[in-house]
Amino acid sequence: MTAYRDAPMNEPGQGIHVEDFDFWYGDFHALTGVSLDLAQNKITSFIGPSGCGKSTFLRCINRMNDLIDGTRTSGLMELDGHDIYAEGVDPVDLRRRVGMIFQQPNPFPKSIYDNVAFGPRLQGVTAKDDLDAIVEESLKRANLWKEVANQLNKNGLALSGGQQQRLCIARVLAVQPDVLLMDEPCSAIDPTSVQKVEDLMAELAPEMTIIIVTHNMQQAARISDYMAFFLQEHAGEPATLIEYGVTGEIFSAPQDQRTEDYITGRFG
Amino acid sequence: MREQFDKDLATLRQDLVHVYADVDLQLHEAMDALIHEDKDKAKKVRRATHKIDQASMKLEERAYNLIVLQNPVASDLRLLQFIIYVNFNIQRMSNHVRNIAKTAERAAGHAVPGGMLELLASLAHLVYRVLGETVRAIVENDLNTATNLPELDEPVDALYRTFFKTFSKLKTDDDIEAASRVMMAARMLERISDNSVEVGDRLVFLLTGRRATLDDLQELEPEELDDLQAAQGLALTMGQKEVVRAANQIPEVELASPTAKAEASAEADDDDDDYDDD
Repeated sequence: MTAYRDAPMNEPGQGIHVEDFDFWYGDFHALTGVSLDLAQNKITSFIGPSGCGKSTFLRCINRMNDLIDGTRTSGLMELDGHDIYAEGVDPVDLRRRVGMIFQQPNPFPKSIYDNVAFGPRLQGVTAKDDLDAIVEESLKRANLWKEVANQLNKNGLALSGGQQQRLCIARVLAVQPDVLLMDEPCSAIDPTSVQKVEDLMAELAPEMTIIIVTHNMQQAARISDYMAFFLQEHAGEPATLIEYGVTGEIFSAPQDQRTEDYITGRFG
Repeated sequence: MREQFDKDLATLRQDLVHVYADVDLQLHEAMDALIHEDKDKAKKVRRATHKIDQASMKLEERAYNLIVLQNPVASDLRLLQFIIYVNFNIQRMSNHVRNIAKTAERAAGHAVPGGMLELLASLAHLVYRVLGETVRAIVENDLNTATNLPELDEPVDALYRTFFKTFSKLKTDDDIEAASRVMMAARMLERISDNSVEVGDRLVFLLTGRRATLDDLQELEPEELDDLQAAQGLALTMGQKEVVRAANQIPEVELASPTAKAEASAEADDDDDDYDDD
């Protein structure tokens, strides 16, 4: 039973709508009974102890788990009114609309320019002027342009960790996603870079739905509008969504005792 | 770290109840000094209220330190906020108790007219009841008990208003100055009761996380009040034995005769007395 604290409700046919969603890795039932609407153009954080299914659920949103053999789902997960697990849905097209940033920055071993231009080229953009404009715009939106404008031919892997992460964000932005999934994007970068990524998220949020998995409770409190707490209560049983709602309210007065115990540091 | 933090929070809550109980105890002593014209006792009360102020300031300092050092959230943060806000009320109540003690010193040896001392004793008993129930609500984290506080405060206000009527009926050869001092003491008692009800208001946020007053919750059934309660951290329940022990320091109050008398008197006067001292 999930506790909802002023949880968002999207208009029918808009945004991400999840209903009674379950997920299995082979025989292992990893997630059960997740129902929520993810607020459009807001930041939502997923929190919970390790193994609580938050990253699993995040990866379900752009079908990244399809890449793992034997996974299956039940229930409904819609993006703008369309079931993303329906037959005929192209996961690659879905991932263009639902971009993802990982814990470890993973730029391609190519130039900064080619990293950012990679997606648009796949989509058929070939004119140099168009690509130049997309690269510049994306790097500006990722707050990296000023630092790399004169070295676009430099290998992306030569950048610092924090810069690499922002390059990955620029690469995602270049294909103009509606949703940005971030799986612990700040856990492998230095505090100054964390600040830059958080500022960037705040700047991007008015234009896109951002969902972040984080183990950093203070970060969740700082940056997210809504918060979802996942928990696997007993080993061997599936995890589920325990509480979901406005971040300030959950941090101030969680309804569920398990949320209270987790966010106050009594377990996890 | 978490274990130590839990202990720190629980100790703070225990100490808060201790200080609250001290205020109640000293109010009993101050009233006793006033009724029995005991100047020595009144002086002791004044000194005790300064100690209450110091203890209260230390509580507040510890609460701020824990906020800075531990980054508390949820019920931990609500408890610390509760302690800081309640300290404000405790310091005001302590100040009022001190003023009653001063009145006891100044009024000693004067003939207080018009049965005003008896009226004051009745008023004090009504206030003890408000204080006692406030402490019980804190100790038991009980929203139901807290929601009764405004009702318990009503006869305090009503009886306080009768002082004006009594005062207006004094004769020219009555000791008006002594009567004025008792009036001021009555005012202090009424304010102490109001402060205690305010503590009840603050308890609403501690237990529910909602910005609501006790008046807002008056119409709710006990089950609805239970539904409002947010999850509670260990700090709200651990060390309960010590909290109960602290609360038990408060003397039991014989409420039947003076209260019944006071309430009857207040009810009789309530209809034709529209003075509002809010």
